Amino acid sequence: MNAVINEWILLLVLGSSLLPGLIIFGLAEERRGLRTTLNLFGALFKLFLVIWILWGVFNQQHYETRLELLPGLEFVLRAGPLALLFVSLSTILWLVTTIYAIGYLEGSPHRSRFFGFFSLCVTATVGVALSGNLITFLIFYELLTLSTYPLIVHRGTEVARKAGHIYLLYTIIGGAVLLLGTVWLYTITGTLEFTPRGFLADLDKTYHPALVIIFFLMIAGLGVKAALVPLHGWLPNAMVAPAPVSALLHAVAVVKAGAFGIVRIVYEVFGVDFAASLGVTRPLAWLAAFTIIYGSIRALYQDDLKRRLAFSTVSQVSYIALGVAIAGPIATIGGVVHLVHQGLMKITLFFCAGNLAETLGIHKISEMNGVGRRMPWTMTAFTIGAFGMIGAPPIAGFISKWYLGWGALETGQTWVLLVLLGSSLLNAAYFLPILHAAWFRQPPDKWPHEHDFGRKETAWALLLPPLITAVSALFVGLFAALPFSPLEWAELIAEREFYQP
Amino acid sequence: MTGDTVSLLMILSLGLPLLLVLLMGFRFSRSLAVIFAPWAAFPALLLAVLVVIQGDGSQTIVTLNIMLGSSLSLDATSKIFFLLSAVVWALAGIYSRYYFDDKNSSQYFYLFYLLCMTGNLGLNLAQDVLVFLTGFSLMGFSAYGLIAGQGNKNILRAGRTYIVLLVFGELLLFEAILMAAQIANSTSIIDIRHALIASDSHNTIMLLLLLGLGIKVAVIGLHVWLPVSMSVVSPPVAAVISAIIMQAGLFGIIQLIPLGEITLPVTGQALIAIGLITGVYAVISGLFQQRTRTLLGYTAMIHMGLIFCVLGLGFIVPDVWPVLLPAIGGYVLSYGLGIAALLFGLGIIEKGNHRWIWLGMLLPALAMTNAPVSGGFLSIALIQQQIVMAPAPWNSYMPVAVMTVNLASAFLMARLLYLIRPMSYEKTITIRPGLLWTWLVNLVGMVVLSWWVMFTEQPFSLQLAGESLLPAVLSLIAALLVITMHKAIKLPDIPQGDFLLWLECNSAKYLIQGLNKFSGIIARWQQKVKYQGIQLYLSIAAKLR
Repeated sequence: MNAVINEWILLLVLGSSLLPGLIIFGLAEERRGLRTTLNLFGALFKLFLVIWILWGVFNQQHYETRLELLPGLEFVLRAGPLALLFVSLSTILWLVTTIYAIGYLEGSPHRSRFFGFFSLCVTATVGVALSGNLITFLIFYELLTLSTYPLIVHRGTEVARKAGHIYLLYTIIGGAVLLLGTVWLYTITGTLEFTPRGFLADLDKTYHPALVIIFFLMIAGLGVKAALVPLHGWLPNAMVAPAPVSALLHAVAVVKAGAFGIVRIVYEVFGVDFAASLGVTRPLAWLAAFTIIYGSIRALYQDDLKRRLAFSTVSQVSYIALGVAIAGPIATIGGVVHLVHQGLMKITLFFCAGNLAETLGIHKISEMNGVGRRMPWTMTAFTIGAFGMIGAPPIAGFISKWYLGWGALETGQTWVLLVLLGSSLLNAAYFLPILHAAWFRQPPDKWPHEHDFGRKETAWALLLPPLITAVSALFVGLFAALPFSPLEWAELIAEREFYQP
Repeated sequence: MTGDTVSLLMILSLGLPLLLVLLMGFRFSRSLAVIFAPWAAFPALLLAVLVVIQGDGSQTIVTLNIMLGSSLSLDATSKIFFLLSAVVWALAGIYSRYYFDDKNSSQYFYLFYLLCMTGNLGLNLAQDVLVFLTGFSLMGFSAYGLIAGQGNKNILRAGRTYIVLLVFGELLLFEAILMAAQIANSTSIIDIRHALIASDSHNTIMLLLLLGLGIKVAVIGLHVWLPVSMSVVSPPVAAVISAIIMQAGLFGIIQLIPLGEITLPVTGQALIAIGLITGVYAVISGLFQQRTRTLLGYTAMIHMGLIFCVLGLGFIVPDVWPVLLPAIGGYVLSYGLGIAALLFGLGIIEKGNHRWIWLGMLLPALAMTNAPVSGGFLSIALIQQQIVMAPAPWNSYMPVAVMTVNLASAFLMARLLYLIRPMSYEKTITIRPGLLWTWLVNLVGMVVLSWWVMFTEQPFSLQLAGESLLPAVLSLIAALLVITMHKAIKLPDIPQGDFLLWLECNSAKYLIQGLNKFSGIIARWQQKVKYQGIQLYLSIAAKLR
């Protein structure tokens, strides 16, 4: 019985968002109740399944699904600790974002289309996480591209269409480059199965130059989604999408899929020690470091709140790549745990930005004077998120920074400390003025476009999600040492998958 | 039994203010929270008194599963700093209740007051660097709320200066602590202190620590935030800054740097030099101030300069550190309560001056010159006694330095008393009794606590007291001279914040200009690339079609 469950439960995880999504496509616009029920049922059911699997994996259970696509090419889903970290993040944040989206899109057109693609997008993300080999990974990676496009252009304006166009241009080319690398690799090795500590170390030395090129092809393909400079151009444009989409895009789905892919490639295709011996991790670390600083400098000059947050994502996601590329156990923990930490903090910030836009019509930072008095809870959540990004203790971002710095020192790469210092400084330079304006400046006589929510500062469905994620960001930092915290789980990953004890 | 009480009080001293912050968030409980907020420091006060009576609190350790695992405790040094913090927080809380008339601004004040207090008490209790860092950041960032709370133009400038230095300080401290913790392979403060002794990179780490924490202490060069902040904030906030926040920086230095276990003559001499320059600089800038609070900011700097000299001595002659450390504790307590009393007194005088209040101000003013009205007198005596044991030439330089600092603060106190002299034409306004009572409690507390701590912690001898009377007498004479001279010479007013602030503003301007230029170039370049990319794409698309 257990064996059967272990084999099929992963397909169930995918189905829990795929099926509701497909049904929702067929629903009429006014079937609000049914649509909401389906969405929430799917999200909660997925959460239940993920908790089940988490407990199982913690107790050394093995979950795997294999289906043959072509002779020699299999569709593989496998739930290892690393996959589960990303799956849990997506599942929890999908639930929160669904609630938020229901509140946010209240009364706007094309909601069935929106929620349909929204569910597909999450299905693809979870698929990316659970992929057991590169081919499966590629399938879901492309599905993710396609299901996100309708969400970006959802508003249907000229700007949105242009942003969607740029997005497709970048990601399709990126996908093609990744495919090229994958096929080349397959011709050399004959296998694409993700393996703890990699499967390339035993190859003949003559292949090494080819492997170096393959590595960079793959990183370039993934770097588009992970927004590594200079492949990041689509991300700031994509912020025209509705707030829940931006939130999901920046915290969970697209950007994270890229970063997660980099982790997979470095640790489970090449193997970190082998990658380091090929000399490819060092350039990746430099690129990540450059992206971290560059993204922050560009963020400084944005007056549009969501655009500033977008450049901040460019910068922050590269912490993950940096942690991976430092190539030491402690830094890896920092990088991998930042996958979750950045997700919680950034989704909070985007929710808050959405709240300001929906409630008061605020889109620009220059309009945010005194908004803390009008919307104290929203801005409290924003403040927690912003301090987390700066890396102030005890918020999640601090833990990531601590591990990255510790790992860098451990491997003798002191320059990383300067990058962390510069990044925190720049983060402070573009977040603290926002906080100052919001809390200490006088509010204007009239807000740009105010909605009336009675005595509440905004609708519950809009207020609760950022509060939940902000408190989570605070708690996963404050209680980082408790069992099943993201940090503890990242340590488990490093122990079981990355470094043989 | 007492161990449980101590543990409970430790949790309460951090938990109660945080609970009140949470209650402030809800409309139904907000006014209730504001009513209780002024009393939020009382668990900490109780704890401090209990631990000082007990002698040593270090046997009670509260283990908390937060961050990467941490614990709270109070040892012989931290209990004195904790006592000072608790007393001043309690006084500032109650004083503010009577000081602010406007309900809205008092709500804002108490919000940041509670946060800042939690941070400060937390860092005093911390046994590991992560909780220490957390407390330090919480204190620093919420102090910005206390400083920038009211929002006029001068306040904004003060806030900006403060926040820039604050961020730099936090980051340097983070890097230093991270490096030290990695070397020690531990986050415990004691482990880190030990690991620093043997480490090769202790010079870098200690430099970073001194820079990061020196901003809070306001040593010369890193002090610009202090005078500007002091001039714009309300008296209770000024008291918090000069009696608590500056001390937190000093506390960090004492906790993290292995003083007394490491001999570093060059560092020691550098610290003594920095301390002396800070003192001299502060007295010159302070004497020209018309604004009384700025003047007190410079007074605080003078005292920190003196303590830096003592720290320097600790680096040169580690053997005397076990005697110097309690002397520093007693000195900090005496002078912290003294400067708080002066600032609370100033707040009363601004609302209405009276001869009796002026006379009352004499007491803390004398304490600041280390006259035998408070325990600071004995601390200085102890320090003087240890200096003699230092190798030449320090045994002859240092007493002069201490004497100079004493004289300098006597000058400033005389100037202060002159500036606040009651004018005959001033009408007496009725002052809220609450303000007056808080102030009186502060005065009594200053005398009683500082003597008590000195007596319980130190061997007391009449001879020692007699020897140190000389500087006090000299200071008194100097002060009298200044007061009489004041009538003859009118001093010009120099801008608060002095030339270093100008330097800082301009360097920030150039930095921003540079960044602007850089971003312009990048943006143009990007436009170009994007344009050509799109052109290329279109032409390919056209051909394919």
